[in-house]
Amino acid sequence: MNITCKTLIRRDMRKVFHIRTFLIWCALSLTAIFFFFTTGGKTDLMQNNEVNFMALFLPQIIFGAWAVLSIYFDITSSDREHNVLDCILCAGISKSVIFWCKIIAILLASLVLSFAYLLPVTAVIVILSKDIAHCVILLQYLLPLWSYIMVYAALGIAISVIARSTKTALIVSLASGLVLMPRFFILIIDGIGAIFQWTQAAKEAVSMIAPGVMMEALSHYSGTSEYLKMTVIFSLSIILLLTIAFMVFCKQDELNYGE
Amino acid sequence: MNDFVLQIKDLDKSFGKSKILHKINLTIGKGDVYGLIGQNGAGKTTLLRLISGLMKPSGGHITIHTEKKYTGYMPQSCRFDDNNSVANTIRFFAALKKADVSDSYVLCEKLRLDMGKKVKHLSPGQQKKMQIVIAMTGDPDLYILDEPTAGLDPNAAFEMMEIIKSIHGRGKSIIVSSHIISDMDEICTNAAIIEKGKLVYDRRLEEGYEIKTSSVPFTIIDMLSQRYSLQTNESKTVLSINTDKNGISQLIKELTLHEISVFEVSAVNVKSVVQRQMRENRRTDNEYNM
Repeated sequence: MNITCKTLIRRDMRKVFHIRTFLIWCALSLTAIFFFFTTGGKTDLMQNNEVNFMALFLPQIIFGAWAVLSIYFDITSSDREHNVLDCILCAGISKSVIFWCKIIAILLASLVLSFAYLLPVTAVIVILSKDIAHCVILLQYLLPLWSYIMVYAALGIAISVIARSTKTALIVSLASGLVLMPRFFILIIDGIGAIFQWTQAAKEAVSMIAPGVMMEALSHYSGTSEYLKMTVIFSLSIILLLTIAFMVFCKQDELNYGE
Repeated sequence: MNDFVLQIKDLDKSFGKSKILHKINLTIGKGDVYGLIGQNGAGKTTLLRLISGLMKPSGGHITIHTEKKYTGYMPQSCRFDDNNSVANTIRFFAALKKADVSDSYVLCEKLRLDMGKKVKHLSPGQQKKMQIVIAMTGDPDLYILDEPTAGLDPNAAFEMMEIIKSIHGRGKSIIVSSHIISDMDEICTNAAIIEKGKLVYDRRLEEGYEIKTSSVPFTIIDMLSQRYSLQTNESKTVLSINTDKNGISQLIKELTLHEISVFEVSAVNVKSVVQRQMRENRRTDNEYNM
């Protein structure tokens, strides 16, 4: 990796790890601990020595979209809005290099955030159970959580690229977070399904588009096939969103003409 | 080795059905300061963005002959990361250009720019200074400055003009757009006027002269036109000519020989170019309305 890429990635990482990110993810980690105690996670652990999936991920399923989108919604829009992107491009850097560096930055940042979310709750579990073997939770759920966060990160970068201003990106991110909230999304799909007379199975399949619904579904199954399905859906979502973002990013000046 | 830094040939730019630039042809030589003049929405910024490679042309070619692969671009307005210091911001761009940052630090000191200050604490004038320092980082051969003095107080504008002059003094080529005619007059060697996406005027300023005379008979104008690139106004009392200093002395001699009084000889400047163009526009509008 050359010095240009390192410089761009370092800048994006600094932008992502803002004080805002620190506060939001601290709150999310504390909520995870709180939910672990209040949703039967502790009872399951003490009585059956099992870690309840929902007790771990409930805050992510409810607030995950907002927490992730709040970090990435302005990763490109602010640079464009303030003409910083133009200055970077005139420094002889191509748009594709800038975009790839952003992808690497969000990949790394999302991994750090997954770790930051799981670490406190794992520590609580290890302390309560006095069983160091529970540390494996961190490794077991790190990858699913990372890919879950990456879906929203890809959505965030797509919104940031497509939106004409940071303010618009923020509004669209908030709206997307609301729409993708599992309970709300299922209601929307139920409504659409009723209009088009979809079967229950079709409605459930379409609901899986929302990462939160997918994560919720995982709590009912322990089979690897469900995790495989999750991997495929999440990977496709990430690839699709990033491809859209890249295509728009490359033609942004033409598309946003007339602002 | 080419003697031009930038060459634009038949450049077209359209967004959907709206044509923004139409068949633009422009050549910028080494050490030229090209003033780009035009009303708001004429296509100046689009042209600058095309030159800097931020947009792709719909037709035609832009050729840049510089050793360095970057240009010194200064947008109309720019706001770098608020919480970053001036030094960090400059270091970031120096790293992107793979340039030595120490020259930029020296320039900051010269411009009394506090490098430890956060960007959000800089005044608009200081922000502009930082932008020009960033544009100058790596010492590019071609500078693209979009309204460099816009929004600055007189002192800051004066300092900015001095910086631009110093860039020109080092033999660099500059293309600059501005609405402030006096600024353009001070720095430009060439002037180009864009109107509704078309280049309606493009001339080297020091080669243009205006001669105010008594009325020149048509026969004499006709005769002189065969040897000089000459234009006159309707009353035949102002001759605009493209020539050098020797050419102008020769012409004055010839006019005197034909008993035509010469009242004033002045080199064409941006102000006179703009005024003439405005007069021309008014005339065309009137003809169109009739």
